[in-house]
Amino acid sequence: MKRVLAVHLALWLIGGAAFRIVVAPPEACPPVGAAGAHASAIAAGDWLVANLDGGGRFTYGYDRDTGEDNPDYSLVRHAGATMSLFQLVMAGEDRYLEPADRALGYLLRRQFEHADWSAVADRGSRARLGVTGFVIVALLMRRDATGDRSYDELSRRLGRFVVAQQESSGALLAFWDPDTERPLANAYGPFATGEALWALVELDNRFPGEGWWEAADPTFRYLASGTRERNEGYLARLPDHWAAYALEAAGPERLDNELVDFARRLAGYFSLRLRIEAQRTGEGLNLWVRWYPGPPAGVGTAAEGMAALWRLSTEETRLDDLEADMAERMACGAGTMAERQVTEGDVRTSPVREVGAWFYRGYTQVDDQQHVLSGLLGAAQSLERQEAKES
Amino acid sequence: MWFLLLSAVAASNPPRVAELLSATPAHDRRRPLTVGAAITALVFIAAAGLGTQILELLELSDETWRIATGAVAVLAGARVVLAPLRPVPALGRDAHAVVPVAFPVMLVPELLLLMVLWGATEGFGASVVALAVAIGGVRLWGTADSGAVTRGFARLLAAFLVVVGIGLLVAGIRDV
Repeated sequence: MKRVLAVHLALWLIGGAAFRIVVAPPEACPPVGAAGAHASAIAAGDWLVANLDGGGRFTYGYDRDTGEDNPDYSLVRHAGATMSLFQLVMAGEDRYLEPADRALGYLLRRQFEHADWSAVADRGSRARLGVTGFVIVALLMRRDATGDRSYDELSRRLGRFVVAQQESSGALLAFWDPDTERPLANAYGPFATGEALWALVELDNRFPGEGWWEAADPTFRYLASGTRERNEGYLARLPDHWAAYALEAAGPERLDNELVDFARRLAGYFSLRLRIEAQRTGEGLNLWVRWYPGPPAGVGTAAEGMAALWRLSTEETRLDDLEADMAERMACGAGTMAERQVTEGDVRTSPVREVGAWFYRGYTQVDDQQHVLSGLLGAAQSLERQEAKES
Repeated sequence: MWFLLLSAVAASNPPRVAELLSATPAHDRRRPLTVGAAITALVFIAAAGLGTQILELLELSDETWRIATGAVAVLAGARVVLAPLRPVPALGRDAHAVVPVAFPVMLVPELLLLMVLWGATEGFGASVVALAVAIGGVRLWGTADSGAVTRGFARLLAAFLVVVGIGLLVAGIRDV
């Protein structure tokens, strides 16, 4: 019997160690307060501004090991980063308005008109749904922040481009081809649909009764029902943070149970992503079972999606049961990312390219700062509310 | 509550215990089985009672633990379904309640993880009720004869444990 005991005890110990290392490593959540999360978002905003040239173009990517910039560019990532600068303005940081306008100007110089709509694209290339969606959202945030309504008609024209890309199923085609003067058939974007949907809902919030909600609703159904994944060939439901923004913008009154269930499902995906991230140290055995700390843009999308749903949950009683858990995940994500952000003491090759940024295996890209910044702003809101309750 | 009861019974798997102890005649099994069941129950009650503290100590959220428990349940269930059940050597009439009855036959990791999970999420009372049903089932079925029926039920419950594990995995992934 002693032998049986020894063998089984050894198996338990090995099994327990394997369980701890492989299946359930600790979720480390470095503490951070509202001020810390906000300061981290500001540092990311400062990176975007420091890496924005006079013509409103961002430094796209940077390798801190070689000290080289990435010469590529992505208009949709530019547009997303521009939107996040306007989020900072909306959070009360007025000094980001000028650089946000400069980045917006870069996009507006690329608008073109066709029929009754306008879209945004590099000269000669296909008009992109997602870029146009971001421009609409940025223009509307600018409108809210400044009271300037001079872009209202342009916002509507851009919105009509989104509607022109819509299929009867609610799907949104991602491109419009200038050669054929038609939407490119059967071409969809994994994120463009959510970006454009968010724009439609924001348009309806500013210009009610003009039919924007009627356009948004079928696309909401297309996403919430899982039709998008079946039609567009995805094996699993997409953790669509832009759809989370759209749900937040729609607000409780326009969400039926199907859309509330959609919000719950999205919150689950974002939570899983943030929990896994909290388990990553990138060192020792953990590296082999959880790999490197994730790409900042990926972590940031989960954080900002969760933030959008958390803000919705503060008004939507059907999400009451998730509010505290969402706040906990956001705080954990904010602590993790604030701790990973490059400070002056961590600089390897270029303070301008590194301070305030997040790197994945030595490389950072403009959207890394964009997404994490947005997530941190949301976490700061949640933490502030929590701190106010406790004081 | 039904899910708690069924998952606890599937994880404790009374016919599996009967099969593993089948080298010992039924009347010689009763006493070590009763003592072993009591020891096992004490350990699991402690696990349920300390569920929240255990998760805090391990720095894990309920949802992550749910996924981990689901993974272990799937593996444990699959092992019973696929691998032959080898009875432990015959027990002495008044001995062997701790080894091998409580450990390793009854004190299985899948039930331990479930008790921590239920203790942390469903409350101590509900966990103890589920555990009482499971351990009671083991005590009642544990003296049954070996045979194709017992082995068949053991594998059926193990297959159900796989389903429970998949359910926990999905719930853990979808939970916030």
